[in-house]
Amino acid sequence: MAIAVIIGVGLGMLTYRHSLPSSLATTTTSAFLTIPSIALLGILIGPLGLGTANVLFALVLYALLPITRNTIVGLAGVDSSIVDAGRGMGMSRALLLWRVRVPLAWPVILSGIRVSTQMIIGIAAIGAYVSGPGLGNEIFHGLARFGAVNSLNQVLIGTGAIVIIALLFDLAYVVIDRLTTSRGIRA
Amino acid sequence: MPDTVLNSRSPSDPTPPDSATSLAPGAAPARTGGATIQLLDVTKRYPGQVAPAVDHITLEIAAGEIVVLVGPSGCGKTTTMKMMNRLIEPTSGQILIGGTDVLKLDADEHRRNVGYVIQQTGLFPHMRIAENIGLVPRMLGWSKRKTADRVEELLEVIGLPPGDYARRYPRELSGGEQQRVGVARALAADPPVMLMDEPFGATDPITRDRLQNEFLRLQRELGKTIVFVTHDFAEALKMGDRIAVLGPHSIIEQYDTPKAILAAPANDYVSSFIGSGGQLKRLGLMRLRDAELRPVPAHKHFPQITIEASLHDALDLMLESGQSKVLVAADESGEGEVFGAIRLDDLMAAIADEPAGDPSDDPTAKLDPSAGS
Repeated sequence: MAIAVIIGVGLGMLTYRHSLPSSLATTTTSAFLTIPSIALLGILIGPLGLGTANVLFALVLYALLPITRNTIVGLAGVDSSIVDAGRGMGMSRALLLWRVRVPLAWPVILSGIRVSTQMIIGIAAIGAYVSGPGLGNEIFHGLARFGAVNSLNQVLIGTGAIVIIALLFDLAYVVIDRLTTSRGIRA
Repeated sequence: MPDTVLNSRSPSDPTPPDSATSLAPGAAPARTGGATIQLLDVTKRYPGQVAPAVDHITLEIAAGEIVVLVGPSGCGKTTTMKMMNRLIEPTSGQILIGGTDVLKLDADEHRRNVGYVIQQTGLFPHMRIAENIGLVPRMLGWSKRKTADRVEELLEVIGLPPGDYARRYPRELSGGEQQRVGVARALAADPPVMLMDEPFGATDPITRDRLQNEFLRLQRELGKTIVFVTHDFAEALKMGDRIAVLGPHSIIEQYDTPKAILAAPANDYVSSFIGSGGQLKRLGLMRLRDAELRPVPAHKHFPQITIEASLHDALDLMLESGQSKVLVAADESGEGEVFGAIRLDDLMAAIADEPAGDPSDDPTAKLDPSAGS
């Protein structure tokens, strides 16, 4: 997730000022999202083999779209009069980005990260298909011996745990949002 | 031009060291006077457009003056102003501030030494008031202590008690208060030059009037060189030591004192901009204080007007009371000292006699801000 945030936000920061690169970035990342997860994991067995690396790579790709798009939308959506004032005060482009654009776009960026997280928690379960780690294994094991004793329970436990994790993450983001968004722009 | 107020400090100079901390409490915030601004044959041409946005403008603005660029929307007045702090780069020509060619300076550096106030305040909503005001000083490398002192001082100057306001966010302030903070932020690093783009345009008429008066009072202490952009001719008359009436492509139709422009518009374009009632507006610019009064009449049953009022106010009182003579007194109450009287034909004479169109008029004879309001 952290990797996806770094790449996604970085990509957004690099491209938000120009329409062509930013739409290119959004299109590419959304193309990743359209690839069915089982297919992508399968394809990645070639270069990355089975296991954690494969799953990690796939999850990063999936997480990119909401983060990148929200970063671009957020940064470009900062009120132009505010940007103008900042430039008029002699803020350099980098300073303007860090002290003005990012803080103002932060709620939007964060909500992109939040959506991404929710999404890939679900996809991560399928990672068990290519011997990835995680709760997906419970589900697949349970499904593999479906009908056997406790197999249904195993599936339900895996699924339930994933839902709970997703909810916990969501809660964490609410807290992060409260802590990191300036009181001056909080709704 | 009054060279005494001309400050030759280069706009790229760092701010005077530790001036804020050494300042006695309650002292006037003025330290840096203004600097002259010269535009020499400046043109801005946008690619793909036949006509230039700004066509060979040459304009000299004396140190310590408020010069208002007034013209209809789209005439290039804002473009002209934005070239002075290089938010827009001129296609050709030279811009000198305090004798320094600003096009040769680092643009960001340069902008930190030029105050900039815009209509929508441009305050950063995610920063507290104190942070907003202290931003430029911090960029210029002032210490935290010195910046904090300066912020406190400025909040006092604009009439917002620091204890109450420093830690608030912009949205917790009224529009008028926000605009005051905008002015304070532009003044923070004590720049010799301030650019103001319709700074009071977004406020209601009553607030605007108050902000204008406050600003004129402040400017009398500060003596900055101020370029003020507006499309409102009444505001131009009130704020300007000099007014540049701009036509399309930022061509200067007339550049003179408000009185001179009203008395002798250079052409039809300027006349149309003045609109109707030009002579009434002239009366609004003349103060009773400067008028020659008749001796106090024997019986004092005439209406009274304060000596701070304008001749326009006197005329208004005459029309209202049906008297052709009013008494000029220290105040309107009827108890203060009566200085003299003024008659309807004196007002006519004032309009007829006033020398028109002399650009070497003493620019320091700033009109009273409350005149004509």
